[in-house]
Amino acid sequence: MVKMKMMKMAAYACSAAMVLTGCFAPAAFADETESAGDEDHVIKVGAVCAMTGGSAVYGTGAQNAIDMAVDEINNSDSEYKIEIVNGGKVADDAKDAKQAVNAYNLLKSEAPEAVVGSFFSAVTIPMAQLAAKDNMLLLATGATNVAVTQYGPTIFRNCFIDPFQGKMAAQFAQEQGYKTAAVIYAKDDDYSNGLKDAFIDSAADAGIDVVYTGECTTTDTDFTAQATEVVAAEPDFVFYPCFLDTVPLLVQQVRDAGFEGAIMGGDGWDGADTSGLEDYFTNCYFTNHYSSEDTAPAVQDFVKKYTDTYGDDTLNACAALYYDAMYMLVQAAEDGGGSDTASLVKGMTGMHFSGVGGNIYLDENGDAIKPVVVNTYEDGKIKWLETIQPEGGEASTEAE
Amino acid sequence: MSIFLQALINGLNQGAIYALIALGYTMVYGILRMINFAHGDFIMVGAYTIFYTAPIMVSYGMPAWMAVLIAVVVCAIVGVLVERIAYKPVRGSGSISALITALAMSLFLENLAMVLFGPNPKTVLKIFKLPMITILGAKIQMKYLLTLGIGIAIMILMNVFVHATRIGKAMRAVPQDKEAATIVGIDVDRIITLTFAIGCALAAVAALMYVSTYPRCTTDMGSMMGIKAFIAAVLGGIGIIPGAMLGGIIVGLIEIFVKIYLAPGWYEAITYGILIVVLLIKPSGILGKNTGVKV
Repeated sequence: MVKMKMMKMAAYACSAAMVLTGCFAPAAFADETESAGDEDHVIKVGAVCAMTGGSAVYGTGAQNAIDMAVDEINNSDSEYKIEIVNGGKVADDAKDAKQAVNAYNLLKSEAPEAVVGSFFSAVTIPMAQLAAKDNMLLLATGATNVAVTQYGPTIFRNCFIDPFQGKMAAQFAQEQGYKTAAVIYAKDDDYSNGLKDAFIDSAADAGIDVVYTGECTTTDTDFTAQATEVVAAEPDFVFYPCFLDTVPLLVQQVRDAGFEGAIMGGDGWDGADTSGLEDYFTNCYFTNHYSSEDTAPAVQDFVKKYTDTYGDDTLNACAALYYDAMYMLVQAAEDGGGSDTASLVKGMTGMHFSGVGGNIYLDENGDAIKPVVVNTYEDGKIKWLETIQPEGGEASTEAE
Repeated sequence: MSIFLQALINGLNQGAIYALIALGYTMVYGILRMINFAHGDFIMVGAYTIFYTAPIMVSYGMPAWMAVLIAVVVCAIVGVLVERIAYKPVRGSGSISALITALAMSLFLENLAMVLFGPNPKTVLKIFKLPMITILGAKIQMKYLLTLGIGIAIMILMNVFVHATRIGKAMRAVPQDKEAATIVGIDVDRIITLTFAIGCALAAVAALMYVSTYPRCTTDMGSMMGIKAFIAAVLGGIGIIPGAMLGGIIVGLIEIFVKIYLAPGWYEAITYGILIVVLLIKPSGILGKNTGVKV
């Protein structure tokens, strides 16, 4: 921790030096820093998300949201404008660590000043390692695994972290009066492991007995074995912290095996297809970054504009997070006093930001402290249930 | 006990799906000595056909499962086209060419599907609306029993077809000696095409069974299913119809029972491990050196 603080201090010092001297001797600095040379008031941003594969619905949302945000920013009187490298396209990580590295390197060849993404922890971690080495500002979106921001002081995220989601799920289960829980998680996935560990830890504190813990993998389609064991263990509540593509399969098979209690997941559930399974999804819940039913003006403006332009098929939390990310970069440039990476990092550190995802505060690790939304389903449609504020209400009070 | 019974039904259900796919592998192998790696992708074709046609069936007041009839026709046509366009021209150029062509065809079908249907998984509507029954404390979905019944019925039908009809006899004659078969008046090309059509039609039925249990289609669903079914076919003795059934059921049961009683994360490793052990002990598969007639 101390080491990280020192590194951040060093980053401040560097950026401050550049801001001070940059205007006097831009040419001299152009040699030393890749892109900080002359201040063009344009933030060159590379974006990464899963554009193909089972999670492509996120990538589509990200691309739309980025297009929308960039269009708004560049047509406003904002001091700083945004240019998306790679021809305006989000680079595809296909939810695969190797492809994420390729995507990062592809973007790097165009010398961006910040990289936004990715949405999944497993693919963001290798990118974070590279970004830390390159001193590149990486603003992760949905990557909720704790480790992501710990690789360096230039890594931030605008989502909450796994322990927070797992803890909130346990807190929610406790509030609803559930006494016993079963957990099924994908053991080949960092995200799933992170939520599972946090849930099990918090469940113990919340007085919930975890009666069954089952494993699966992210590519499984058959959950009948786990479902059989869940039913045999007779829990009130099933926690399934996995991604949307397998959620309908799991929910159907667990219900088919005779389980009638609550089934809950994390933000990975957002966008799960419930068509044909509407009755199965009754009494299912998931925590998320935002709800489109939130009455806050920022959310409603975003939802309306997005739906008008792109429809609501891809309107998910991923879109909201990428949308916010663009505005966070603009605010970072304003606060940090420049569109180069060092100024952006300076502006981003300890930022208070208010956007579609609510009032966000970036803590000393670069992690977002923000409210968490609990959604449920009604006739197969996602329905906002409640918003749980983080302890101490730090985000809302400090951002005023 | 209830867990065991439930697992048994689930395993048999999954095994029946593998067995039907394995039948397609085995029939094509039996007649051409060629491993059709694109076979798994016919499941995908069938599943997407059901995804698109089931709502139409329902809107005309027919049961959703009737979509399988269209899927059978579509799969058979796709299978015949693949055979005529891609496989027939390379039939004389050795097994490696055929294998590479099959792999290329598999990738082609998957990518074509991605272009046509988009990369997002599709959720298929509920195919069977059947109640759940309780036997000996085990809660069992009637649809699992139904798909299992369909699977077994089709396997028996296929066995009868191959052994008791003239076309079946011709299908058995072709791999024994192509020239001799031609001399006695068998149209070898027609028999091969027919074999592909039947194998693909079976894949369509397997797709119905699959989506009724796992209501999702993805463009790459066929590759994993295909590999599992291929293992099943080899395990049972490739080229032998009862072998495909036996292999499929064994693979399905192993997967479910390993998940419940051993380690859930190890089921694939253990399935492949058993395949290796069986092949070491009996390289021709479980029913391999049996005098059973090859298709």
